[in-house]
Amino acid sequence: MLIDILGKFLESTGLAEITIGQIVMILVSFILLYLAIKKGFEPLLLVPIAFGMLLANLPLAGMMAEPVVEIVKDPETGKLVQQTREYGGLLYYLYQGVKLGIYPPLIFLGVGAMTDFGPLIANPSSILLGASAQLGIFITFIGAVLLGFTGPEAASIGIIGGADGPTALYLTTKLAPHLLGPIAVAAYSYMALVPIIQPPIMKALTTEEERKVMMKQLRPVSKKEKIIFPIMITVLVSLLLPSAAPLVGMLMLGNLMRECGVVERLSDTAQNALMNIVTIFLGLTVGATTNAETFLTWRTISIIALGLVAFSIGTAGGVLFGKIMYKLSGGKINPLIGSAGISAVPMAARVSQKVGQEANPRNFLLMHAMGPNVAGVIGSAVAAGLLLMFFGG
Amino acid sequence: MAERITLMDSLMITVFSMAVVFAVLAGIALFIKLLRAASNGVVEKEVKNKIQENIKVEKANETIEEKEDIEDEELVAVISAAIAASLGVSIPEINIRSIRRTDLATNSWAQAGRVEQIMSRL
Repeated sequence: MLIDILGKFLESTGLAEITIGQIVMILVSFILLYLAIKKGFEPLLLVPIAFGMLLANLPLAGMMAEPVVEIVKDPETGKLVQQTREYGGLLYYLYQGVKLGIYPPLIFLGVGAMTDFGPLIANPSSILLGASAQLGIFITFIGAVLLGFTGPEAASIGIIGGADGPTALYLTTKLAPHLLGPIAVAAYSYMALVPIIQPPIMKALTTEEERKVMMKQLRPVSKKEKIIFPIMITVLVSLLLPSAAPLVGMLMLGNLMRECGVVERLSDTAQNALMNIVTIFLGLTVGATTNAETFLTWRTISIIALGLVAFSIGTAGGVLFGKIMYKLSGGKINPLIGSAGISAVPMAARVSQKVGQEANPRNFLLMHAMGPNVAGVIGSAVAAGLLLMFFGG
Repeated sequence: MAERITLMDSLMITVFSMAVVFAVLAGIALFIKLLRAASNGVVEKEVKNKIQENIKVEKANETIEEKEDIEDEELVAVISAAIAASLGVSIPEINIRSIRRTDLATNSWAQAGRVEQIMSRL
């Protein structure tokens, strides 16, 4: 009798249902939690992502379960009507914000409200560095095609090289939602590893002399320019590339709220409260998409490897274009700011500053690197818009 | 476009997309330059006029000045930043001709203290 009761109890727990895959995924989530909490790797995102991964892989909890809908005959009217038999799990509903492409543009709104485009406006030629660093996206795209991924999948993998989490998620949900988990984990992990990935590439591609270049101080930018900039960029980019409008439009709205100075409360909400709320939902639900069946495959490993290639080529593309600008400007531009063209803001700019200061302790490249860095955000949004144009239809 | 794509297709997409990314961002750079030309012409003149005020921190001890000049770059940077902050402009906009250490006998802090005392009794 007692054994029967115990047996029934055990059957009703998750322990009876757990699979090897789920155990592995739970262990992966523990590792990610360790990296986020103990090592400080992008904790704001990795903590919710890792916890989402944990929740989604606990058997029988049904956190990501889809609602069950049935079609029944209405006894009064005799018509067929839809009826919800079982409601979905909590994370399923939160996930709709990712699936429908709502959260990434909202994150961009906050990013815009936090970004100062001043360094870019002061030195417009640095914007080209932000373009050249997008090379990583497209070279990786070719690599993924060669490895047998379909076009939309390859495009989603390539976008990891943009080093821009929201853009990567936005594009992936539109083109290859089944790869969302691995792509999000790769994108955010590598963004945390920017200070480790970039410096060796930057040093290998530049000479000591180039790294020592001190750049002229940036001119001050007027308030008028800062206000007109987001408005005109929205018009310009959205007209040329309508598919990039959700990302660029929200980015620029956030920036306008910051710069116009008459809606400080909105700007404050966008960069703090709203940003934090959306980050929690986004991280949690992206983590929850990483279930054992889709995550524990060889494709995940190749996606993670391709992501590293994407980051490295993006960095190299920026630095090499920086070298061209160094030559063209007669040695006035430090090529190290090129690596900041991948859009991990402001981490990539900080890396330029750090590597520059190692070569010349009196060198301050941070503000100069912020130009290509914020240009990289616009560049990767444009690249995402293009890929969406090719594969979204 | 078909799901599976060939290497040739991916190369074409890459070349085309990089060209468009460059074109769009170059367009933005050009636009920023135009924006500056259009909106900043007037502003820059105003700033220049304002800046023609010369800031001199003066008096005495020229022998010290020569030596300190080289050693105290950091001090100069701090003083420049302080002047810029108190004038509410950025460093490139001010023109500091010289900074000289004043005689310790007429300590400026002591002077400021005296002035404060006098003012409080008026």
